[in-house]
Amino acid sequence: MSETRNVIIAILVVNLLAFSGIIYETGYFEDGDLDTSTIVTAKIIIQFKNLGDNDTKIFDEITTSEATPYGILIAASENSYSVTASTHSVYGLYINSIDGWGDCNECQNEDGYFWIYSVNNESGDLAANRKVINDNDIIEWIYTSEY
Amino acid sequence: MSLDTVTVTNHRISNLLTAILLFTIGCGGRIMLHDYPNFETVMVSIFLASMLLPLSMSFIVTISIILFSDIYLGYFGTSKIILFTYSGFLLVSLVTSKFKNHIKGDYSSNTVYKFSASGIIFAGIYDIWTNLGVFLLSYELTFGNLILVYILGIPFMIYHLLSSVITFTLLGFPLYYLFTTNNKNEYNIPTITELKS
Repeated sequence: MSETRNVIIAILVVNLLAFSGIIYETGYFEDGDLDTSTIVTAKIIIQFKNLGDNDTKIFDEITTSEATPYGILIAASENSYSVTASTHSVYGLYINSIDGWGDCNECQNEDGYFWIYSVNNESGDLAANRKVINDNDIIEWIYTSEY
Repeated sequence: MSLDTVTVTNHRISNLLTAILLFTIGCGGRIMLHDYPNFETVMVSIFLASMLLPLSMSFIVTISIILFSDIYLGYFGTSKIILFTYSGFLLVSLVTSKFKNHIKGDYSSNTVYKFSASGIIFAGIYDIWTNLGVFLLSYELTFGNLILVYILGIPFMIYHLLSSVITFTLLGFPLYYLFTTNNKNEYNIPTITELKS
């Protein structure tokens, strides 16, 4: 009986530590603290690495009230291109497709390609709706097979 | 002449049934947990197969789990990275078989801690190997890029190590106990031995 108690305690301890680590790692409690509601004007570039440089879309001044790479992508998309996104349980917002390229029902999908973003040439380190951008930043959305 | 006894152990759950159960847990768990990357039951199923079954049989279970789940999820043949994911799981199977006498234990807290450590070590071995695959297949082969791949992989690796601790203790330990400690019928069968006087 005492061994059973020890086993249960051991399982509880290691799982408590593991779950705490996962919650910390995924930033579960940090979501409410972020304010992305600033109005910013920035440049957005959309590159299709599978098509070459000729099909790059460039929007020099886009203003958005959601100061994130996702917010400016949506702001620039009006009458220009379509965007589909989904929420990933671990990584947060995930862009499925832009302008008909990517993972959606009516999209063309290049094997091994996915959408990533960078801000001022620095790769995104947060979900696209959690990274705060500033005025005059350059946001690139790239359809690529490389990180 | 005198009567002596020999103890015969009969496992209530056969190797074949064990293999089928572990395949179901590994394959089914991977499909059901597909929306939670790096949270999977494949690693723990392969670990248990290597602990409980002969090496050849654990290899068959390992390949079956990833092959069937890959085909079901539509991943099979889409990328060369499967060379590294498949060999990574086989590597985990091989290392587990090699060290299973050190890992195995009775129903005790010590075994729980050993299973936790195993989850971390084997997920770590797998991630280090598959990250090497990402580097070799997707990047220009420079030392800087090698470091970059491992740095970029750290958040996912930590998550995988932690989730492995959970699956190895909440799933692996009880199943191991079920398949071993609780899985024996022992009989004492009389034998005839000649006495030398």
